[in-house]
Parts: sequence; C-alpha cells; structure tokens
Amino acid sequence: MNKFVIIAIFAAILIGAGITYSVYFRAPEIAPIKPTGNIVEINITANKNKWNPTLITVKAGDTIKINLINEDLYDHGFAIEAFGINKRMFAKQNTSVEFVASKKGNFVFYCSVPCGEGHFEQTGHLIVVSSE
Amino acid sequence: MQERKIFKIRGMHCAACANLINKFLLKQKGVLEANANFGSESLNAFYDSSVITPEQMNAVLKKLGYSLIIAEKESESEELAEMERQKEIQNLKKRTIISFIFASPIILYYMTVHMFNLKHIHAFCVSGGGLMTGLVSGCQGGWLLDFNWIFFAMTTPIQLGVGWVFYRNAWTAMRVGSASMDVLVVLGTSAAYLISVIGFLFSDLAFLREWSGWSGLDHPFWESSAALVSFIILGRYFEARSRGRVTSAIRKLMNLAPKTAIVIRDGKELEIPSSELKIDDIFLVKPGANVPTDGIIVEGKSSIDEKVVTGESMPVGKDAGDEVIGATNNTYGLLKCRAKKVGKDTLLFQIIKMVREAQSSKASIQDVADRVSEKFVPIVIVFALLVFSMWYFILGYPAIPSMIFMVAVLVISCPCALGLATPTALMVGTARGAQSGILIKGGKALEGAYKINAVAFDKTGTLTKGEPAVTDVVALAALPKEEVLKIAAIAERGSEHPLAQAIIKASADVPEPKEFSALSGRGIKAQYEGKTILVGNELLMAENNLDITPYEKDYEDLQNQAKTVVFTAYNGKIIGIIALADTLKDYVKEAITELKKMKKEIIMITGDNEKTAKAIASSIGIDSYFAKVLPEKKEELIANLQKQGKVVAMVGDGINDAPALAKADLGIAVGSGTDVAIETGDIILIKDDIRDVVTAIDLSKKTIHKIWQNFFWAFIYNIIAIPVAAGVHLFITQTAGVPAPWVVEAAAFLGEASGKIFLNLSQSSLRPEIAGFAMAFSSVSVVMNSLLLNRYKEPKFARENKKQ
Repeated sequence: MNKFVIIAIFAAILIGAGITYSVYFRAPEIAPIKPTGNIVEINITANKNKWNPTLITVKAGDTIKINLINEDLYDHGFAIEAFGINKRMFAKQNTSVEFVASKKGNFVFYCSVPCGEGHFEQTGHLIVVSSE
Repeated sequence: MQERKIFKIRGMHCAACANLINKFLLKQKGVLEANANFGSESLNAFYDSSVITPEQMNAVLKKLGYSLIIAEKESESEELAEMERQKEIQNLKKRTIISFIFASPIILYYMTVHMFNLKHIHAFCVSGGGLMTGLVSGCQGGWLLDFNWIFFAMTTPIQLGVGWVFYRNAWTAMRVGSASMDVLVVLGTSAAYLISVIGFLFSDLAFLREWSGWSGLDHPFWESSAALVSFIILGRYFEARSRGRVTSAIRKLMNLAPKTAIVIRDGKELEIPSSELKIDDIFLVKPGANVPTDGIIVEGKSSIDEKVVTGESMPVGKDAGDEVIGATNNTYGLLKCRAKKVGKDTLLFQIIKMVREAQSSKASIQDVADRVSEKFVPIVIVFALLVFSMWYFILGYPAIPSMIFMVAVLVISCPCALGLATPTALMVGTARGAQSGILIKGGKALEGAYKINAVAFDKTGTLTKGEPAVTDVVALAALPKEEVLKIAAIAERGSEHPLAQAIIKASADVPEPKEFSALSGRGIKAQYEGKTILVGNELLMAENNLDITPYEKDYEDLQNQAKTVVFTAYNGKIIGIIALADTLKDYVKEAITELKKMKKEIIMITGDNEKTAKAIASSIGIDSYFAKVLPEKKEELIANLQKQGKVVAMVGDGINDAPALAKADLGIAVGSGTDVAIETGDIILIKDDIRDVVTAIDLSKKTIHKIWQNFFWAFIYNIIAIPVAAGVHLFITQTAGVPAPWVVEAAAFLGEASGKIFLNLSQSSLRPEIAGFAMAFSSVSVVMNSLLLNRYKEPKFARENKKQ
C-alpha cells in the first residue's frame, strides 16, 4: 500500500485515540484551565540584554497582557514556549502580547532574537499559581 | 498485433514520474509492458496495436500531465525531444536566477545575524527621522516598516512560483507512494513558509489579531524557505545541464551514412538521396567515400575499413561477391555494388535502434538525496504527529503551542544544506575531473562509477591503437634489421594497403621503387636499383622458389602471437621476417593492474578472432575475454553480465560500442573515439590515456563519499535539533518547571559564563535563533567539505613516467 495512505490512517487513529483519551480518560486537572476573564497587565522592559522584572507570578486562568518595552537601540524578542508566544520587540518601541495563563507551573521566558553578548543569559520566569 | 515501440515522453520531471506512467499504462487494456525511463525521457512500450493505439496511450498520459511524442519520422521525435530539453534547461536557468535575486538578501541577513549573534534591527523608520535618528527617537512622528513585509513579498514568489515544481513533483511521488526528496522539501519549506506567513499576519497585525484572538508569534523562518528552494533549484539546473545527451548521439549516428548515393539506372550515373535507395539498386562507391547502404560487391576490389561498425582493427580486403556494410569506409578501389538492405533494415539502423532501446531500458540509479528522504520523510511525519499528540492530548497544552512544536519539527527536519550537498560536491568533483581530462556527465554518472564491480573493455581503439604497426623484425641474412625494414618499405611504397603504410611508417627516408605490382592475396613485387624485392606471405615465396622451411619456427612463433607475418626477399634471397600487429596503447597494463587491485573484474570484448584476443588478453593480464563478438552482440553481452548481478562499466570508443555504452551501468568513452561514443558515454576521457579509467572510478568514489559526508553534515544538526524542537529533552532537563539537579551540576561544572548559557538553553525547546544558527552552520560545513575535494590526488601510478 502507498506509504502515505498508511501514514494518513496512522494519523487518523492517533488523533481519534487522542480525543477519546482526553475526553474520557484524562485527569481533568491536566486540561487547559478555562479563562476567568480577569485581565492582568504587566510591564516588562528589556535594557542592555536584561529583563526587568525577571520573575512574574500570575494566577491560573487569568488573561495576561504584557507590555514589552525595548529600551535598547536594537531588537529583542520575547518568547514563552508553553503559550506559543514568540514576539519581536523593535528597537525603542513598545510591543504587547496577550495570552491566557492556562497551565500551572514555572515557565521560562527568554529573548528570542540574537542581540549580542549576554543574549543567552537574557531569561526570566513566569510562575502560574492556582487561582484558589 | 503485438508491437514494441519506443516513444519520447514530454513532461517527465522527476524519477517518480516513470513509476507513475508505468503504473497507469499497465492498467490500460492492450498494454503488455511499459517501461518509462526518466534519464532518457522515453517509454519502451510493448502493446497490442489492435487493442490500443499510441494516440490512446497519449490520451491517458495527458490526464497525468505527460505527452507522448508521436512523430512520423524517428529522427523528428529526437529533434522534438532535444528542443524540449533545451527549453527545460532555459526554464530552470530562469527560475534559478529569479530565485537567487529574491533569496540572497534574505539568506545573507538571517544567516549572518544568527551565525554571529549580532545586534540588529528588523524594521526601518520611515519619515520619522530616518535610519539613525529614527532609531534613537523610537521613530517619533514616522512609522516603522517591518522587514517581514519585505521578506514576505520576496519569499512568496520563491516558495510558490519557483518552488511550484517541487509541489508538482511531490504530488507525483506521493501518488506512487514514494517519499522522494521533493516531498521532504515540500514538507519542510511549506511548514516554514506557512508558519512565517500565518504567524506574522495573524498574530502581528492588529486587525487580524482581534479577529483571530491570537497574538505573539512573529518569529519567521523566511530564510529556511528561500534558501532551500534556491539551492535545490540550482542543483537541478546543474544536473539538467550535464545530463547525457543521448539524442545528439543518435542524430550523429544517423548522419554517419552518406546523405547521397551514386546509383546506376538505365546505364547512367545518378546522384540520389540515400533514403531513396531501393533493394537491388546498383551503386558506386568511390575511393575514400563511405558506403551508403548494405550490399554486395558486383565489380571491383578494395579494402574496406569497417572499424566503425564491426570494430575489426584491420581493413578487410573485399572482392566481387563480398558484402559491404553501410557507413564503412572504402579505402582505395572503386566498387560497384548491389543494394541488399535499405533504410531501417541496414546494420547501422539496427545499431541506432539498439542504442535507443538500451537507453530506454537502463536501470535508473536513485539519487542519494532521494534514498535518504525515502526513509526520513515517513519517520519525520510520524514523529511530528506524535509530538503534537503528546503536548496536546497527554500534557494538555493549548492547541497553538502544541501545533507550534509540531511545525518546528517539520521545519527543522528539512536541512537548509540539503540542496547544497549534492551540487557542491558535484561541482567540485567534476571540475577536479576536468583538470585531469575526465568529463563526468552529471550525478548519475558518478553514482554509476561508484557502484561498478566489473569493467568491460572494447579492444580495438580502446586498449589498442586500432591500426597496425611493425612489432618485430627478424633479420635472417647478414643485413641489419633497419636495412630489412627499409628494403621492404621501398617495395611497399607503391601500395595503399594499411599494412604497407605501417611498414613505411616504421622506416625513414624510403626511396621510390622503379617498378611495382601488387599481387592479390600474396604480397608485393618491386624493382629497385635493378634488383627484385618481394614482400609477402609464404605463397609468394613458394611461387618464387624461395624455401622458407629453415625459418618455420620464427614464423610460427610470431603467428601464434596473432601477428600478421610477411617475408622479405631481396635479390633472390630471403633476408628477413616482418611481423605486424595492432599495438597496445601506453600504460594499458598499469591501468589493468590497478583495476584488479581495486577488485574489479576485467573483461575484454573484441570483434577480432580468438587467437588475437587471447594474445592481447594474456599480454596485459586480462583473464576473461570474448572474441568474435558481433557489434549487435556487445550490448547483449553487457546485459548478460548485468543479469549475473554485476554492475558493469563499459569502456569503448567506436560506433559499434555505442549500444553497449548505453546499456552498461557506466559508459566510459575514450576521447579519441567517435563522436557517437562520446555522446553516449557517461564519462569521457579527453586524453587517450587508459589510466584515466582508474582515475575516473577513483574520483567518482571520492565524490560520492563526499556527497554522503555532506548529507551527514546537512542532517546532523537537524537530527539533533528534531527532539529539541519537539521539546522532548525538557523531560530530562526539567523537574516541575525548574532545572533538573543534573543540569545545575553540569552548569556549575562548565563554569560561570558557558554554564549559564547551557542552563538557559536546556530550559527551552528549539529557540528560533538556534535553529537559524544550525541552518547557517550546516550550509557552511557542507560547502567547506565539498571544497576539500579540490585537494583530490590522482591514484599514485597514474601520472608517474608520464613524459619519458
């Protein structure tokens, strides 16, 4: 049989099994937390390849609006993989990103655009805690 | 009625096309056999013409996007196909140029930034103070022009315009269930392009962001799409340009028979086109002219050089009643012949047919890239699906981040350097070959050379010079050898015979004889300074009452070495024996020895008799030989060797070798040979040095190794990056969101600066700038690795004692 047909069948079975599992068998706390509608605004600046602040704590289910302020004369980028965020911050500009903190845990945010020395150390943490 | 026919096919664009065509044609009623060939762009079909016509087959193929060239005349279909080929090359050239115009700024920008971790900007300030002031003031009063717009505008024509061919090829490949390189390219570049476009447009533009409710992904992979498509299309262009031109070989063959023939009709000599010759026409062949068609001599006597067709080294003496072959050369006499076969029945036409059939049935060798991707693509697709399932279903992440992990796997799976691996090695390898006088026609030739385990040599013109030369002189009287030769040469000056020419050539300052008469079948008699010179065989000696019995032993010894032996008598006394033979080219022995060392089986094929074949074979150390092989049998012989599981290279020079050159897995044409052989061969040795066969095989092997190494360098970064892109490593580098203890320890071990970098990198999945770095770095590695091939040295023996 055509190997692409086999792959398609495999994909169908996999997705089917995945849906079945997530609906009927998965522990409910694993599912993404529903948005509470509560909006939290946070300012983060990037200056000389450093974030400020480097530690942010938010509540699960909150909609997080981050204002990114790039004070350098070159570009930075703001990325949090768990929430699919990877945003370029133009030089001397303000940028914003918005997402729902749908998972609890400790997440790394980092600079995703090469910016010279110190680039790989330009990181911070976003901690999402339980809303109760 | 069952019929076999070879058609040229238009529109074949990839190796999978051949499979698709075969698959669909075999489903048709009346098609018994279908064998399409990508290399020669032809179809070898065996069908029942009462059930299906070529026009009907054409209709089937039209639906798939191909068409058969059904031309009235065979030669026309070749012309059409050649025009098609030229058009294809022009088209590829145009695509390559367009692609690079758009891609080079993108590639340069992203690669330098990523490779050197540069501070940079990705937007211009328009009317807000310009580049510098605007940058410092934050572009007050102006607006920012995001480079994404420019790159989007430049990548789109590359991905969808130039890259359209990849989509077409991939679709064809998928229909026959093959995961060729095109599929991998389409998969990787489409993923890169789509995530760039969707991420940029839908998460960065305010109005679309409102509508899609999604923000925050604008880190694009433009360079991945642009670089891949550009480099691969460049490789395709090189490959198309260098692909063997079978068509022109066939056209040259067709031009070999003289265009016109002189016929005698109603007692008058008429010059008519050869194509109008009819069976039983009487035609004339003037000295030095080529025979127009196959026939029988009715009048006249000459010696005919049949080397081009039969491969026989010596011109053959012909008399009334003997056969002549079209396209062979009449050396001296005027011949009157009767046509026996005309048009498609002639031997020459049979050879043309064989070349064409051999080409159309030649096993195609799969590209390294295709073989790699055949396995790689399914693995990547399955892995990408598993990655999505893991993040989305099992770990319960939102859909978009889960999908981004999957797309990242697809993007990183297709290495940027993939398109560079083959063409760069090929370019350096073929350039290096050209320096040594070896022309390699494309990648297929290299792959063929790499795989062969048997080498078949044509004897005449390849191993030997193809013309007789004096090899031995035995002085029987008190005279020195030079004198014997000189006396014989004096007599031979009156003769046009090639043996006579050889004797004259071997001697210097030969005066004219006074009287001269050629004695058919015996030799020559001449008068010089009042004395008689006789040069000829034992019959001539016996006629002149000269006793040869004392010299019997010398005579037989020489004959056993398959030499033509003549006696020379002067003034009524035998003074010497002269032996003539087709002599070996220089360094043949060394070449054969080296090939044997490379564990290749050596086979010699010749049209000559058993005795000559054996003598030559044993003198150069060839164990297996085939003598008295008719030209049409050479190809069959190669096919038989292939059936025994051997991968055969054929080395030849003549027209009679052309079908075998085409049939062999690798055809090597000797540059001193005929145009037809050169056009048919996959590799051409410009210098007439047989040692270059060894160099060619060795260089091909090294180049193919280079290609494999390149694939290693192209893929290694990406293969390591795939699990990182999937985020799989996070399971071992993180515990509950914080770095795992071993990572912290390792970071401490690495020291202050690099430890911190390691710690940070270990906590994220594939960061786009790291992906960019991997792509740039793998491209550089591949190019550097290919350039190392420039340092290739020919096998040691090959150049030693070149000039003695």
